Amino acid sequence: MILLSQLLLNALVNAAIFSLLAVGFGLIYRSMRFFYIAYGAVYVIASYAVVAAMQISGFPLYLSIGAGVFLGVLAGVLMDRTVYLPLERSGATPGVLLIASLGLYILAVNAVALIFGNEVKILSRGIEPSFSLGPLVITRMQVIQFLVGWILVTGFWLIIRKNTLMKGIWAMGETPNLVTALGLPCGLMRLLVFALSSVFAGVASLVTALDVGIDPHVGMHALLIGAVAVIVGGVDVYWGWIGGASLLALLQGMAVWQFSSRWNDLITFGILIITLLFRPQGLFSPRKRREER
Amino acid sequence: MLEAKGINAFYSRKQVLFDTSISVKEGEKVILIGPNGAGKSTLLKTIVGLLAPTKGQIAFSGEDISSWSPQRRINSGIGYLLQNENIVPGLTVEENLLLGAYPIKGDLLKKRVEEVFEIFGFMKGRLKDRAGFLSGGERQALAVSMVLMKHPRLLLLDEPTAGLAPKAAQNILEHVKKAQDVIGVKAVCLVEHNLKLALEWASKVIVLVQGRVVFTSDTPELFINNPEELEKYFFE
Ligand SMILES: Nc1ncnc2c1ncn2[C@@H]1O[C@H](COP(=O)(O)OP(=O)(O)OP(=O)(O)O)[C@@H](O)[C@H]1O
Ligand SMILES: [Mg+2]
Repeated sequence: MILLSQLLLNALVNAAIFSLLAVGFGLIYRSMRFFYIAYGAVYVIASYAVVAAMQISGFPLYLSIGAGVFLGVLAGVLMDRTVYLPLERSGATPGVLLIASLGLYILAVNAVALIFGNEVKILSRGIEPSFSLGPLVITRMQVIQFLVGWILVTGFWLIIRKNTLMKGIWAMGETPNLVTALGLPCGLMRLLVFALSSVFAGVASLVTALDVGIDPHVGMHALLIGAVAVIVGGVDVYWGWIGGASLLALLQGMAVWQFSSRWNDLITFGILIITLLFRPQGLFSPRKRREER
Repeated sequence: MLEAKGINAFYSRKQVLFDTSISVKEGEKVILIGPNGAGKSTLLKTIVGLLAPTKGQIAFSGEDISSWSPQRRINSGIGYLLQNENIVPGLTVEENLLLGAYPIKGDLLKKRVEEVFEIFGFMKGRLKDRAGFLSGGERQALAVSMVLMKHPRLLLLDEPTAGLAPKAAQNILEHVKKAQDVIGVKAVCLVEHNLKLALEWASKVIVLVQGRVVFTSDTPELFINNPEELEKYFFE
């Protein structure tokens, strides 16, 4: 029982991080309708920017974190401006965008590996203080992950609910021509989507890297978690993404308990395949008119 | 007010508009008619900048807007109703209206929403409904309302009555008239397949066939009882 409660607690913390990943991925998948593999690159770049700032330039931690998120945003926006946007303007198909995205990811990861090496970089040294909640234990870093994740995800939802520009971003994926035809600022909206997505990727990356370190290849895992959470939860529902992320966190937690963490990717793919087979619109999608599907 | 001159437009390699010119003057109510695939929608798209013409100029209120972004054209007073996908089904009716009004805020926004109620009364009770659940006629009404939110001086409406029963279609046109009074729309250009209905409403008719203007008349009322006279151009 205690073990199970501890598992649930850990899952709740992981769910916060997974939700960040899902929101960052979902924003682009939902509004641009393309599979953003380079999301993994943004994830890696953000944490390595912190590594560079702290260990090479000797910045203090809080400044380094700022630099990490900022460089993540810069990377995301630059990738759009130099690759996706020109490709889309020239009428590229989603397949071409996917390949370009993969290319960007490989390029970024190899560049990072070349500069920093392939081994895991540890960001914070020393022993994490931990607290006990009755018989359960939670580390300080977990508390931070939990709070940062859930506050950002909920706060962003409050903004989406109220902000008309955000509604416009939401509408882009459904009716892109309409958004242009209504005279909405499409360029600004696109910039916002890439910047915000990078913020979510960057923050998820940092709170994870501060805990367990970072290596150049973790971006792919982050991408998978974000993508599967969004697709499993339902592309069209914000809380569906969060639901998908929480489900993943819970099932991965169970798997670690019963088997080992090596099963995690299998679990992720398993859920994806089962959902696509039985409920392709996602677990939390609302009902729609038949002709909209 | 609007002057499009010598427009050529392509979809990849396929040419759809051939040296097409139209003009809409202040106070005019123009119907643009023609067979399916004539390029009516394409012409409107190039006017608002959704499709870049390969040749030709577009002027609005005396300014050359050919190089403007769609956003700038719309915000300078052109209201444009798309033929398809003209509402966001996943958002509520209210959210759709707000999108049409962006970036208007505050009291002015409230006033604009009230105006819509004045024109389309039913919408008042449906604000919180998902727009995707509206009926065909209600959808078109919402779509037209969204276009009216920014008080355009010129309205370009691409088949606002598509798929509606004759009564509902007439209703929409009545409401367009009402909008002209309530909002002060100066000129309207309408694409319409229901000739009889549109001819009664219009002050000018333009026939587009295979991307070329083949006939123009300032006396549409002459054709109300014999729209075949116009339709004969369609099949030449
Ligand atoms: N996005 C597009 N890509 C390629 N071809 C297109 C596209 N849109 C329209 N066309 C083609 O351009 C031609 C003109 O289309 P357009 O939609 O302008 O016709 P229309 O006069 O509005 O017809 P309708 O009365 O059926 O709406 C048609 O042959 C159509 O197949
Ligand atoms: Mg058309």
